[in-house]
Amino acid sequence: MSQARNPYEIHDYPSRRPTGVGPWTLAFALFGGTIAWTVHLIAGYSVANYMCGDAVAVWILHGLTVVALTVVALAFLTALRVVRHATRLPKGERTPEEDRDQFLASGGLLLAGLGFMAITFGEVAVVVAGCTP
Amino acid sequence: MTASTHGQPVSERLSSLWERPRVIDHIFATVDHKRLGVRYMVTAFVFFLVGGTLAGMMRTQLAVPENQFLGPESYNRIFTMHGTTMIFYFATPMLTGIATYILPLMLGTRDLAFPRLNAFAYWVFLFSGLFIYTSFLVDEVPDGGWFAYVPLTGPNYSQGLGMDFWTLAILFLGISTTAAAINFVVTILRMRAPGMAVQRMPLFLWGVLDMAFTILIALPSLTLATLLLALDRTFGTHFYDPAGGGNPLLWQHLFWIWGHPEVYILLLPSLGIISTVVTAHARREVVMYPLVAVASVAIGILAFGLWVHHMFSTGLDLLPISFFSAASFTIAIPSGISIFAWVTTIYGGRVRFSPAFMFALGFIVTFVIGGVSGVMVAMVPFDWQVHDSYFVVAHFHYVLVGGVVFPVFAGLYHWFPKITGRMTVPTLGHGAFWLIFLGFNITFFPQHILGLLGMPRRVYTYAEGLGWDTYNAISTAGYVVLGLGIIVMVFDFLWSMQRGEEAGDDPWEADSLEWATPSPPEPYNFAHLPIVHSRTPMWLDRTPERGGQLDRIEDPMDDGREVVTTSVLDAAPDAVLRVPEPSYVPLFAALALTVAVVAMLVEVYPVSVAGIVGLGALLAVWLWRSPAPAPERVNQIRDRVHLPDVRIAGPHSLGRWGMIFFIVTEAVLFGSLISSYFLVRGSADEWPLGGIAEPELILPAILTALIVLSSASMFWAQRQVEGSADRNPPLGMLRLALVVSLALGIAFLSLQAYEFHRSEFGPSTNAYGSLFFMITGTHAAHMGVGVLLIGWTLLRTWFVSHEPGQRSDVPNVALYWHFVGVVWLVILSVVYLGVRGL
Repeated sequence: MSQARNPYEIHDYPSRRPTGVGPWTLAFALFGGTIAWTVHLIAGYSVANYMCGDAVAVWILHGLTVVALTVVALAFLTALRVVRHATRLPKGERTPEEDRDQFLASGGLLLAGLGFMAITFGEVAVVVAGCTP
Repeated sequence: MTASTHGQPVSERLSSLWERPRVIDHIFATVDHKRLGVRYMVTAFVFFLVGGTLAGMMRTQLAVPENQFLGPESYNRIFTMHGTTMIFYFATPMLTGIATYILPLMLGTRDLAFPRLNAFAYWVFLFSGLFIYTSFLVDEVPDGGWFAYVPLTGPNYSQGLGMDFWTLAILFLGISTTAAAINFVVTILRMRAPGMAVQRMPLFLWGVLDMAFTILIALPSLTLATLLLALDRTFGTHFYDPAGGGNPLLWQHLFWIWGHPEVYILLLPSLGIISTVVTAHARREVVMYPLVAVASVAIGILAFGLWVHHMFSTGLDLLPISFFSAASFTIAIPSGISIFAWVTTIYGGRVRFSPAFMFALGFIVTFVIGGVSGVMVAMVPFDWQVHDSYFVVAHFHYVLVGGVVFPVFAGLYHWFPKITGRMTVPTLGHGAFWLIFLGFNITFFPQHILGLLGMPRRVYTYAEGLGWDTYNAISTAGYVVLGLGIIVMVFDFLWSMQRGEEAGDDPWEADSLEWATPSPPEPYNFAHLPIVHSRTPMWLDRTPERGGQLDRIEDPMDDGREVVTTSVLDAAPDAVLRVPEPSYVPLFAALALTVAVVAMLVEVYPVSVAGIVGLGALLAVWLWRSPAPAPERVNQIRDRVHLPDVRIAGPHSLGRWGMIFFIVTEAVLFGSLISSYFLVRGSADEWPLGGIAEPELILPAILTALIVLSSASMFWAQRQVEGSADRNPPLGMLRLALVVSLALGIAFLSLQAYEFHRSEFGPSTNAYGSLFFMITGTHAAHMGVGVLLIGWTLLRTWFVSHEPGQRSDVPNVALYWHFVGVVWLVILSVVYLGVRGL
């Protein structure tokens, strides 16, 4: 039996240098912005559909936007931090896990950006159209 | 030739394992993804030709004003069946077929995760298609549109069996689509070649993965919508009936929560096909790979925030629809990212202008036009102007023909050499492309103008002198050109299959793993499963150090029908599993289901029940004996790949993953049901309706106690199995735990039957009654299935091997049982406590 190669070398995983990014951090970086947008859309639609006319409704909508945008910003910053962490070494020296983290966190940046746009468009509608019955 | 450890050449040994010699087995018992993939594609293409013929009848009718070729009733039937056929029986199954064929090859494995489920899904699709087309034989053809809006399709305005055919066929087909989606998700997540980490997955795989997830989350909504419609039509319930407190808008919500993502269900794998074709024929990896991959995910997610943009003109307030208008604009961004990536790739590539590539180019042009008109109708005021006009018909044909049919044709031309072993004729392919491309644009571009001129859709004729005559005539002429193109393409395929030039393994010198197999591939796909080191293994992995070959698992894995499973993110190998043998059970199960559906249509319920019982019995046979576990292989794959776990049970088992995604789709079904409850309640003046008393709480409290206790005892059963990974489980304790769960489950069902029996209102009293019985009844049905599963599991403890690794059924059944318990807690809080304002 040849012992020339580490059996893990064949499939590259797992490498011996941990990335330092936990699975929950990675998950939040990837999906945080999307989840914020989803909640904003469903909650905003429900409030606008059933509560407009109530004086507090418009403030609930503004509040929803603030909370959602905060979560989006946090997800974006987390993703940015993961990308920076994963790319601190030159490309040839990175482990496959670092490549993976960079890939997933880059996706998080895009998803957070899209979430930001959709939430902001929705808030513009609240400001322009108002929340009257 | 590599020698097998079984004393014969590897190819012979593997062929004997992966192929049955009898022809009848090939036809009726095959579980080979390639045979089933081809069947899907051929069947779907036949439906495409039928649907296209129906379109020709419509265009003939509309070619001149006041034409009498088709009467209004016939026209309604034809446009209903055209839309239904193209969406349900061509587009989705065709993409499913391509994915079924290509997926395992591109993943570097030997079959899909659940081969028998794959066969079952195909048979159900076929029988569902035959079922809905028998409506022509009995002159009861669906006529309410492929969108089946209520109240038009409800019991008051749609007499006869036509829409019953439609609802039952869609419910029937949904089983097939869901099964295929679960199969794709589990296969892509767990059966990628070692090393094919998420950042190295081909873009086609991303597209199929996104499609499958979108199906799992969107389809339950359609299933529920059609089920409620069937109940309204057959049993007099009031879900959509305003006179009984129901809400017709509920249909539109449920339908479009599925209907809009459906566009992306079709689009996402199509985008993947385009990426594949562009990569191979521009001979360059798609630029901005991470962005294109994530754009595909983003489109799948945003697709769920768009459904109300089909309802802008239903009278909803401006602000609520503005949220959906915003999301509709946003989705243009990831779509645009993909378009720019392909254009840039082509710009910098060494393009081979093959027919496949031409169809990809045609896609880009038409899809951009469809996308731009999509952004136009995302604007609420514009949508109000063109809603239900031919502008919308033009828009969605640009999206669906441009966005789906062109990529499908690109894919067929691209993979034809792999599937048949022969090349198509380039001249015919180019001819077909130009005829189809020009014919399509001549047919549909004028329809934008017709819509702006005010021509409504779904009219069987129009008066002379409205300014529509010329555009309609041009549109019909375009159809003829388009049809000629299809004929040329079909001729090209049929001729090339017999006489085309031999293709060789990799005629395109493409990048992905399917081209590492012979054309057509062997039954076992790969004699040695490949190991992947890059995103384009056929280009970058075949280095001189590896002798110009792909890296591979040396062991041919030929002790049985063996595959390697890998981890979700990193594709690190984690087990060797055995996939099932060919079987007639999927065919018989699909036939039993067909009997049940046909009997439901003609309201012979005892036969329907018999069909369902037969189906249950066949499923029990199907699941009775799992394939034997692969022999211990730790460190045995020639010291190359370390496999620490070879069990078929536990978290590594594919069955566990299948159950998880089944539960996901079930959870969405219940979520849709609960949302429907709130929507109808929100539009009611009083609740419960019609002076019905609030439900009592004593019985629900007892039911809750029973279900919580039964869940605890199932947890106990689970512990007996999972706590004994390396030894036989204590069977006495396991049986006791299962018996307790079974008894508590039966007690729950008996008490709920008592509650139903003594109820002072029924499902047809009003919408409250309909929803109450629908929610609790659906849950009870799930409890019934759970009880049967526990009984079946209990029975297996006496008859099936007790070795560790053989008991994946107990944790899976427990998972299902816990899910049903959690659903009950939600129902308790919404239907019993929520109605009191608690």
